[in-house]
Amino acid sequence: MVFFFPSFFFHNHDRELSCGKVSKAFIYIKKIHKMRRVSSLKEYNSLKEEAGNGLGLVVHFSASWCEPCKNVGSMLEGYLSQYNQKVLFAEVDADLVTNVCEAENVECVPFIVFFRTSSRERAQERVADVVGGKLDHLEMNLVSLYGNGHDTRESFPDLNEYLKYLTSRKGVVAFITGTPSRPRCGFTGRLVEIFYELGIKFIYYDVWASDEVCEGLKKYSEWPTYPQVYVDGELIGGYDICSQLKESGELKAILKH
Amino acid sequence: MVAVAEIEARIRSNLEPTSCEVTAISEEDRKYSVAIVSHIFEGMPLLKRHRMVNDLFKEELLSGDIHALTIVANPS
Repeated sequence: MVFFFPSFFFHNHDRELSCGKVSKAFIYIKKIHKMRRVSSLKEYNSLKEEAGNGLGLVVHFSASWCEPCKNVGSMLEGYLSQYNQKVLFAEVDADLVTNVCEAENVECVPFIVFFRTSSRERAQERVADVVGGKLDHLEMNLVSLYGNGHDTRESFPDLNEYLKYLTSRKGVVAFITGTPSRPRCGFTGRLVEIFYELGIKFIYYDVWASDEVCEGLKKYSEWPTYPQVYVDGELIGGYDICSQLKESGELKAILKH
Repeated sequence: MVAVAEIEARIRSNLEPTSCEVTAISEEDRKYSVAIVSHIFEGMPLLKRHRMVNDLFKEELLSGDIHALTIVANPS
């Protein structure tokens, strides 16, 4: 037998109470992972603070009349259990909560904003955007920014093991400054343009997220600058090499694409 | 910041180039471009050529005196 209470009863948190068939009622409370529907700027700011307990926050700006928003919403829902509250997911109805749109300078839907918890102040740093319903870009940013939910630095015994893991992940892995949608260096922007132009799928690591990784990878790879591009844990090179390989027609083959 | 002449001199004294051209892409941003032709690069993979050049400026690249080297390195 299951009891449900109206959601307002629990101050906007949904809880489920369940009774097992025992002589004395055994009650436990389980928090259901779900998309947070934001209804005010105050609530939005509270959510950003709450996200500081984890890796970050993904905000989907949508509208009821927007067909691509449904696909985006479905895809993001699919990630809720994987990230298990380490990453919070929120949806903002752009027609109803206009002050949040203004606060984040969002003027179209679907629009997905990615925040990362900064290591110093635990504040939410806006690091990437996806404009429109590009599901492949959504996935790229999720995997790149938050990993698989379990593979943070603390899971590895030392830095070298972590770097070996990061560089050996499946497919093309680019260590860049900033993100594809918010690059912090011209070389990063130009590298990403090459990948997009050739249709090369990749994931990235923003070395600004970690001084330890930023400095450690230079020693690990004996390569002093960023970007650095890896396939199967092997350094391919930086922007120059990728650009020259593109000109010679070899880049796709070398990236095993 | 590093002088263009210093970069060129170090390349010439280490890589025996038949041709060596160094340009400051942006001195303010400490970005330089080097184009080198040297027999030393014969049969050498692209990554190794670039690593050889980077190694000459390892200290400057680590300290930030050089932010980025754009490298073209060919054997002929």
